[in-house]
Amino acid sequence: MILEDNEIVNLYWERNESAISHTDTKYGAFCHMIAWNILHQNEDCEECVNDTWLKAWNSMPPEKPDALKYFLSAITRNLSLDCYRRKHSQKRGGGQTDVVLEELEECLSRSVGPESEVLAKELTKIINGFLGDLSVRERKVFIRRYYFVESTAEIAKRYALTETNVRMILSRTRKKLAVILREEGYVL
Amino acid sequence: MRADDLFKAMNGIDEKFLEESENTENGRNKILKIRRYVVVAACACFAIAIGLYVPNAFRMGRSDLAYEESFETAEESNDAIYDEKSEGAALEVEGEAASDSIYAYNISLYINDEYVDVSWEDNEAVNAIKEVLVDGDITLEMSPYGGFEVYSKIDLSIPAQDEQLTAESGDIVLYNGDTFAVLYDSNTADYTKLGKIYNLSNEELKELLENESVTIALRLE
Repeated sequence: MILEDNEIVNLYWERNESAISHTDTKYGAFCHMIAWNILHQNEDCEECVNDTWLKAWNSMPPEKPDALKYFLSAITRNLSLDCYRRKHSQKRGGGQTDVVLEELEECLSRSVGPESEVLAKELTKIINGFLGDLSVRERKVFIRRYYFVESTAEIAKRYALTETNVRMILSRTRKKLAVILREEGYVL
Repeated sequence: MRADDLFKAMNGIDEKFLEESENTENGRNKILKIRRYVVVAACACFAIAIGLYVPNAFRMGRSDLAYEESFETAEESNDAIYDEKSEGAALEVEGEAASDSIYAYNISLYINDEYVDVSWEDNEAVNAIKEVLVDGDITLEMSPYGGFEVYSKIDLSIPAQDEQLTAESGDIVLYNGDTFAVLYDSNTADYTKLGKIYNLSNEELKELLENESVTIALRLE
């Protein structure tokens, strides 16, 4: 039986351990896909997904997310990126994740500013504002690439576009983001 | 600030934007789908019209001859009419048998030359694949996606009847009307269900599909 999000969150708040199995049933494949896109190793993916459940258990309460799916995917993204960094600290892996991070570096050229929690929240607000100003297609392509870490081939397949089209959209949107970050003082 | 910080800041992207990105339909897809349905409907009407007109014209031509022969003895003309009717009936039966025969065949599916048991859906998409297989086998080089499926684009006109499904391991689906996929873990999306692999455990199926090179062959047998 698949529960609604609020029912699963209530199980966490009641400290009912069945919350984990319900979460796994409903969002296991989704979180696995997020981890897979970053790590491409089944063992590492499973480890990150299991750690996601542990982090979710430890954070609810006090957290009470409205959209459990994206609350979990944020945890999985962070854990997967940290795992990726640990495994690839010595060398460039050359995989999709490296390429995605290199593309994001383009938006930062010479970045400034301390990395504080306050600035991180401000940055999220700026990103949402930037996304809101994009066309629907540009926004979808940007999010599939930089949130879900999908390859340009996968994005092209998803939206019935050519890969060239996808790359052009990504290049344009990165340039727009770079301009906004410069205007907001995150980049010189 | 590093790229990792920008990457992590995206965790706060508005949920409505994230949900929107999971919708594969776009305006262009909708227009292509409508165009596809119109073409299929037009072809179906044309085929029905041909199917009705040709046998009728054939029977009408033969009955004109029978009418001319009615000046002969009554016995001879009766025999001629009887022969014409039974021949027409035989032609009809033959026609029906021909049109039904390919749908009586089964599609066999091979993964890397290994036969797997499949229970196929009884729908337009599966029938369309059977019609294509009459002209020869289909071989697909599959690519992995998302850690839950292997897929390949198919360059065929298959009528899609997509609905939001939670597809499970073993499900065979059509996606976007032009992508053939086999799942080895569950996923929810807009699919046309084609069939289900059975007699294989999830582990056995994963072992077959989580390979660098996966080839799927479809045959009419």
